[in-house]
Amino acid sequence: MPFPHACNRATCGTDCSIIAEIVDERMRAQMTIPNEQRPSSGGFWNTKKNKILGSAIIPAIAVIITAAVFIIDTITPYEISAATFYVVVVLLSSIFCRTTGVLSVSAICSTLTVVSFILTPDGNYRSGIANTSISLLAIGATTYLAIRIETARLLTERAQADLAHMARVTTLGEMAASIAHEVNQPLAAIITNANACTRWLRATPPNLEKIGESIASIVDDAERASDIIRRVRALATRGELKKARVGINDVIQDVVALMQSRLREDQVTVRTNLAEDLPPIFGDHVQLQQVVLNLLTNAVDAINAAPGSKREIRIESSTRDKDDVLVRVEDDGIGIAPGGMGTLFDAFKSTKQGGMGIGLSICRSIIESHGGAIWATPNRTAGATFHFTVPGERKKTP
Amino acid sequence: MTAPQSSLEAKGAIIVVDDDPSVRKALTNLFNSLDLPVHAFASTQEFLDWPLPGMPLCLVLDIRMPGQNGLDFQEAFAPAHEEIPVVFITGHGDIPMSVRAMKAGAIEFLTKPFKEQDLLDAIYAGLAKSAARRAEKAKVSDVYGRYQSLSPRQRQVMDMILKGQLSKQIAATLNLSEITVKICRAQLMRKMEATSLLELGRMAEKIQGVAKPPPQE
Repeated sequence: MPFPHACNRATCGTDCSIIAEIVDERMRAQMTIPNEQRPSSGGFWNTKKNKILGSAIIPAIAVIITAAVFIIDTITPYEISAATFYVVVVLLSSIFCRTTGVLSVSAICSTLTVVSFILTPDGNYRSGIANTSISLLAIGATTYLAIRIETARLLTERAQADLAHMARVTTLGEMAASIAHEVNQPLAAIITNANACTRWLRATPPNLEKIGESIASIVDDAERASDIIRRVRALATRGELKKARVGINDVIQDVVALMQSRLREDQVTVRTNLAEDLPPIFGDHVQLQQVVLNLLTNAVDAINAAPGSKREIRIESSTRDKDDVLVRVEDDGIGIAPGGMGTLFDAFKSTKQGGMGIGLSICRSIIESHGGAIWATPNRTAGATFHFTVPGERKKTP
Repeated sequence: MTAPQSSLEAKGAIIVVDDDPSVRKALTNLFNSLDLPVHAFASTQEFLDWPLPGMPLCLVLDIRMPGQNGLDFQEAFAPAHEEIPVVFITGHGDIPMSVRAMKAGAIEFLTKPFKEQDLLDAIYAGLAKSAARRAEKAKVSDVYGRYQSLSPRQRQVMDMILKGQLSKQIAATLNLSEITVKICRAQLMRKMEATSLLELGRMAEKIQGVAKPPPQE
């Protein structure tokens, strides 16, 4: 990481240690993934930022450092350039702020530097001018770099969202036939009921009971059709991550409902065992749906590739470590080849004919961006089980 | 489900096999509004477990179903049940599917959501076809019954007549007097209720598939 030439040795040392700390923090975040199968090559994207964003400790530290630097800079003579330490604050702000935030922090630090210069009672005035200029330059340069990093991160995030969106749309495209079937079913029922209703109306006397029944059926079926369309639309939307309180069971149920037709066609049964009192999680509904959708389609494909399979998928949700949510998707399909475990979540590695090999790598990046982990284990008898965890909301806001 | 009334017996009943409860319910409602008896089933297995009533029937069959799908079912079911025509309804149909269905003798292949008129046209055509097939079948079994009542000698003579042989030739072949052959011939014509040789020929044609082992396939 390039650094402003203006900083003196002492300052530079501090800065580097801070960077080391940040890097360390990121490394530790990655290490929390309890997964031996996890390839060493690292993820497709590693956006750990979201995990750190929630914490309130770093802003507090930044405020304390700012106050300390301001006091020391003011009471020490002009020769001592304490204001350069504001770069630490700017760097810290880049962890928890977006671009505008970093700019404001930088502006505050610059102002405080100037104020300290005015307030400092003694020392060599010329060295004071020089030191203050150096500090301002250092703050400016650090801000510039912090913003550059932030922009790069945003671009990565956008690229991730685009790729995830593309993968979703591809999956939806593959499901088009079954979705069409799923929508046409209630539509057929609506039209048929409406026709029957017209006939009941024309009868003399009109059969009011049957008319009422027909209309009630029409309403039910229309709601069913609009539910399906809402689910498809939600999956097809493209957009930035929208994190909110999500119930993982709703996510699972939505996906299973959407897959219904495909499951029926392939004669696969899904058994769900969803825990009632799961901690709510903080995440993006669509992206989590994508993960479940992906694991479910993979399971169906694996079952289709295994002739002797019982054609059953089990989905379980449970609480893990008190605050985390664990989801397991178990199939009795063809399973994972012994050599395949290591590269399972790698991008562009696919065992499926015509597969792009981005499904699982997107799953991993989504789960990791939610601060969770995803891994796979072979089953004792047949098939494989995919597990993923997402930290509960309680953990994030202590 | 409506209990078939005697006047409707002739009209026949509709059988709906669709795994989707709302479609099943809607079709039942529609046919009820037309005063047509309906029997709805969630799967082909359920339908097979049901004793077929002796009336014209038309089968409205969904394609995508758990267990056996509609097309496979038709292929297994249709050859033995020609008197039950099939109308397919599907949420998502493609050309290969419709070709397969029509080749196996389906009346119509409708994609959901279908136009009411198309469905009604199809089921009425189906019921008419079913009634015609049933009548035809009854006629065949009637003629066959008459044929069964012939003595072996009469059958032998009948076969030879139909091959275009004259009484004289038959008598020679069977080593009988011409008079005996003529009496035998008159008796068999009476038993078969045929007024002319041409009619006898037609009857023979009708029962050909039933009376003799079908031609090698």
